Amino acid sequence: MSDLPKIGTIMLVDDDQVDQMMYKRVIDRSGLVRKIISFQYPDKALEFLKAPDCGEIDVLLLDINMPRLNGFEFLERAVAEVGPAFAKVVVVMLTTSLDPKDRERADSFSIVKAFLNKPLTEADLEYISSLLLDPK
Amino acid sequence: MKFTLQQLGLVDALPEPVYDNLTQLASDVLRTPVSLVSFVDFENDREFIKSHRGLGEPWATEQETPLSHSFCQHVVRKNAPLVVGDAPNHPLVKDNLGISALGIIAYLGVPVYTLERLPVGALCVIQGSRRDWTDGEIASLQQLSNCVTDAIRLNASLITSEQLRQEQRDFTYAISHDLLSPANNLFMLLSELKEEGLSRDGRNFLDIGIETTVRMKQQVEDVLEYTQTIGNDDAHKTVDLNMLFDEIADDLKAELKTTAVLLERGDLPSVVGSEVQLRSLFRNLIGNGIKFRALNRSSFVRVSSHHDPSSQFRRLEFEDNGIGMAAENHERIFRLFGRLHVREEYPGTGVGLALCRRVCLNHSGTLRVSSEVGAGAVFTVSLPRRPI
Repeated sequence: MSDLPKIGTIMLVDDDQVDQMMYKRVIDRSGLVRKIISFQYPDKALEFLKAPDCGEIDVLLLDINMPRLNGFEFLERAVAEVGPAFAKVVVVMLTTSLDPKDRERADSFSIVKAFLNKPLTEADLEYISSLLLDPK
Repeated sequence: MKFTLQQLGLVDALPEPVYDNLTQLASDVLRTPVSLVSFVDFENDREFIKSHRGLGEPWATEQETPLSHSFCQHVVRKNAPLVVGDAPNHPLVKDNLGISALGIIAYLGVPVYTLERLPVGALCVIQGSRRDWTDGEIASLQQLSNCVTDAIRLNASLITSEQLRQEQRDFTYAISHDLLSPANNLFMLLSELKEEGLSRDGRNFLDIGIETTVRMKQQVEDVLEYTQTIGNDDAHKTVDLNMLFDEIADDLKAELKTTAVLLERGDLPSVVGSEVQLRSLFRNLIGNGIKFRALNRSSFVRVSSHHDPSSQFRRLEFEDNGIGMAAENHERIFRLFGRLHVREEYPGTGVGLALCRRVCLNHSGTLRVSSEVGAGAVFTVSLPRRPI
């Protein structure tokens, strides 16, 4: 690949080790991403984002059901404690289709640009990189 | 959902206080010797008397009259109040056999309705002498009939929710059961595959696959146990918690040995409850004490009972010196699927404590935790001294 990767830094927040492994395999294979930062605990991810030297996060792939903080609580706290632009694009990763109430809750965050079903595919990554170029 | 009068317990059914109170009130407020709540069963040519005050025999015992004797049928047919001041001279009912057989001269009846707003019966007041019913009296009876309608609708809602609950329970059971069998098959197939020559990567994936199916089975079993506990249909009896504890301690012998956790109990009371559910409660709370032990000190789990004669409740404490948890997580742990750790650190499905709280609720009790990070935890079960 002569081009620079389309996505600079991607952050994975998902408590499931198998899901994390699959994300990383797809991401590596795609060659679309320069750097991966991953957390199994959402509160640890939050701590990382709050540090002044955490760097720019282009894409955050966020799980919903996690220990200590669920995905929504994570979003609420990240917006409140880090700021509404703590990442350029947040993609909510779903195991099953979203409960309509959860959907409404997620839609209230302007930073959430997409909902994708697991497992992540290379086509998904291409789509996510297009969101970065043209943030709605 | 639509119900028949039979399903609602409004015909061929015993009197119920909610209706008896209203017939009592109707005859008090309207100052009549007789008041009825009755339902008209056109198919069987009868009026069924669900509740009455002051009705003579044989009607009081038989609880029904043929339609030839029924004034209430006209209330239902017309879906409107029937106001009769002098029955023998009233065009609609002058030939009604109720006049001679039941002595009805003045009659005032208003319709009562089902959930679907269909008129099905009447609340009426009756006396054996002529009477000019006032608008105020008609309005009063109307208000009381609204209460009868409300009681019918409330009962229909209760039956509906009970049916839905049962259906959901059956459904969950079927789903859980049907999920277990493919999980078992997968487990078997993957285990067989392990015998084939595979690359390192392949073997690694296979191990993850096998572990995943094991977890899936556990998850399904835990959810199944939880949904079965929600129903709380188990028979209650006296359960000696000392014996219950000792049985669980015996089951856990091997685990206690490998984890070097000291499991102790004080003198525990006997309580009235579901043995199956109380066993789940003890097994989960003790199991958590062992699972969340601190690795840097010798661990204990202690179960004791606290007697406070001034309290309506008896308290059981499950104390450990394990890793504890922050106050912000004290409610989260009781949520269904609520967890504080990733699987690799502490396995689990997030069902156990939700189940424990449900068991306490089913026994009219409560479950609380008091804990700090690193300082162990005390789970307090409060159960009413007398079963409610």
